[in-house]
Amino acid sequence: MSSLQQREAAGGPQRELAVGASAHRRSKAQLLRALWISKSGRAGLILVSLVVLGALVSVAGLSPHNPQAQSTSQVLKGPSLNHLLGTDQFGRDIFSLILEAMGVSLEIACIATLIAGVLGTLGGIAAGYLGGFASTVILRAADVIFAIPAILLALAIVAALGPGIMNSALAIGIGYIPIFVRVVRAPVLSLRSADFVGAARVLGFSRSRVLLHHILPNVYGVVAVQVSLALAWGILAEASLSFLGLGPPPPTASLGEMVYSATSLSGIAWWTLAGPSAAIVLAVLGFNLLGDGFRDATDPRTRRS
Amino acid sequence: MKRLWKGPSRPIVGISCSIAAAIAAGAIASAASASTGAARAAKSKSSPVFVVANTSSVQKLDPDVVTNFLDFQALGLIYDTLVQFNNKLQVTPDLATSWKFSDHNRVLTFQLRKGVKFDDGTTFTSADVVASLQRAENPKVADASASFLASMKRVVPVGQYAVKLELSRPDTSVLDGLTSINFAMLSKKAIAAGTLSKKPDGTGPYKFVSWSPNNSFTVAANPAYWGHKPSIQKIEIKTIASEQSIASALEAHTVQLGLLTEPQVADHLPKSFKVQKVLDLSYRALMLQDKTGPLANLDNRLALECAISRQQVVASAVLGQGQAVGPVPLGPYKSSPISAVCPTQNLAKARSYLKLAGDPGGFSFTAMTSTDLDPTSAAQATTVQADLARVGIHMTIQNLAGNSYIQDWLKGDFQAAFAENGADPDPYVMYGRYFGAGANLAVPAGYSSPALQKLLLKSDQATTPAALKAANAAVSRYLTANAVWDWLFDSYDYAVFPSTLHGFQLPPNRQLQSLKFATIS
Repeated sequence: MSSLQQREAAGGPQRELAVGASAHRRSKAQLLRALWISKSGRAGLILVSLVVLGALVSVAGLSPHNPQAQSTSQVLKGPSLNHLLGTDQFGRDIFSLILEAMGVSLEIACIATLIAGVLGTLGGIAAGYLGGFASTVILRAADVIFAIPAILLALAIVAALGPGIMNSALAIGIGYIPIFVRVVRAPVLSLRSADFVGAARVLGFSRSRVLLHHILPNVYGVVAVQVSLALAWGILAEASLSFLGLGPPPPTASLGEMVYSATSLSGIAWWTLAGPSAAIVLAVLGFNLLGDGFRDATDPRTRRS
Repeated sequence: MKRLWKGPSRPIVGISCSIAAAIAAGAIASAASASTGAARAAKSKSSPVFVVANTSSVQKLDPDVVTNFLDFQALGLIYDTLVQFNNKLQVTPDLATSWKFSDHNRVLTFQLRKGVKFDDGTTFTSADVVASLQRAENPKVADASASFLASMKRVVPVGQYAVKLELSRPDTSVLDGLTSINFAMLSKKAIAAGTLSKKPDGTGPYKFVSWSPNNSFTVAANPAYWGHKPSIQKIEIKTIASEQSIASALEAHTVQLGLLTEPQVADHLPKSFKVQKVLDLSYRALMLQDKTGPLANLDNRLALECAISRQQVVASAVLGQGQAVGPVPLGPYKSSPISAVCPTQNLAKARSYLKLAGDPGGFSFTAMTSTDLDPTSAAQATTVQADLARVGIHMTIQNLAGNSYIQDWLKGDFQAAFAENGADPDPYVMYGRYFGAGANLAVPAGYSSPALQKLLLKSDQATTPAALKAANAAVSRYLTANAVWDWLFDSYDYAVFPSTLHGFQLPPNRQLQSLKFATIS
């Protein structure tokens, strides 16, 4: 009985998938444990959880105040029990605005990361596994995007398409694709010649099956780290675009726009600047630390140490 | 006790967080140090160039066609007019030493100043006045104030130093109109050469030196000036992106005079700076294009007028340092009440107007702003947007660069525009060019009606104070009863400068001509 016949007798590809899925689940649990053990990962996880929780509170309509409600009697009030981070020049509650803006930032960062992650990972796998002409085309295209400073590229795209959540996300996402391509391609190059990949080919598995079931799961850790860093970059880039007036237009709340508006008010109302600035720093710090934690958790050398 | 986190363990964390902190700190930094533009504004404290800073930039050099406030201010240093406003908004002599109305206010005769020379060396005479006024009324030139001369049948020289304006009807407001830089006295030679849009040639205290679009405009003292010889030899009007940066540049001594509109910036400079606060001769309005779309419906426009809280706009845009106004913001004919329909915000009435319009759920439109031209416009728009949302009207805000805004504004290529328009004590002078018969700014005005033209004409022709008051009240009432635009507020302008500058006084019309009297100790 050939090995292929033996596999099929044992349950065939379905069984293989089930075993793979089970292994995947186990690795996820291990990954989370390793993430929590890492100091950076734990700090990142806590910060990111707070950021996500804040955004969810706003989405669920549980903010302490209606973030868009203006009040002449509450203009530029300092922090108090009623307004934890004070009010802005429209009399709006800054804490509630930050929660709403955080949701918008996360939405844009997630869409941008999804765009960059999916396209970049597929591109990286294709470039690494296929090699040859396909690799050259993909890598040169990535180089072209790399050659333009990411924020400048985002500015140009938003200026051409107009401001808005989707356009901002697209502009930010495109700039990050080459990073995914390069980061994913490197491990794929070594995986291509790994024994288990060779075995899969010998067994007659299709190319897509090899890529999706044998290569992709093995670059998961690298992608996870990059996703976390891309989210941090997405939040930062969205804030930069909004600061320059190219973010989502009002009344959509935006951290960068809040910082910009506060620049002229900082002399008389420091809290208008402190709140949104701190929110940006904490969100970016959180995702970066989380990315760091992912790296600790997935890097065998770090795990050993 | 074990610490949760000791600090970034990877360079990437440190770098990324530094960038994040930089975004936040960027704002703080802008308050602490001048922007790059500001830093380049002047080389040092001892620089001989006197730098005037503003967020706007000079857009055009031809005085007949300018509409931007800073253009008027810059060209006002180079050009003279026949008559000018003093600080009390009274008409006083400039290149005309005296004037006289005759034939029942149908003829206006000016005696002209002698010994005045243009920058090109030619002598100012009545021929230049005739050429200037004829150019201004030429439709091809598109003078921004041409409507003020609508009543002028012809202008004729009376010898070398007098001119006579023959009017088709009694019209005393033409005198107020002639104070505008849009009627600057131009050299006949320069008009013939067609060089005015590239090289200004005036008779004012300063001569044109250079213009770098969107950056700076420089003039030098005119040694042949007929009046008080300026002490400040060179002035550069510099564009700096934000008022906070202008304040920083003032503190860094790289700017000597800041022209500001945001009280939170002007009022919080160190005490060593002098701040002149002047209720300006302008008004903020939400201009509407009333001919197409939902804004063509009067009831929709009235809903807009009733939904807006002008007090809230004043509170947020200029931190309460201004006043809600109607179409005539100041002077003896000041609008009272502010609105004929909703003097204060009335959401119930707004909703009932929407029902009458057949749009009970509200409607959508786009309003343009330009924070380059008016830094307070973003706050105005945000407040108005929130007010309108309460009755279901969705207003999209489109913030444009200064030059794009002006282009779209002149072409009427907008649905609504947050604008800062020049005012005048005489309502006819203010609105004749927008809504009068043959108004040259009818396109951006976006509304025309024979009834309104008739009311404006009546205002222009009224001679007694009582008739003037009644006619101007009728104009105000018509404008708000038909919600032609939404008038918002009038606020203060701020001139901020070190205490070493003496003799400068910012007038309500923001002209900088008093710089010719200024000295630096």
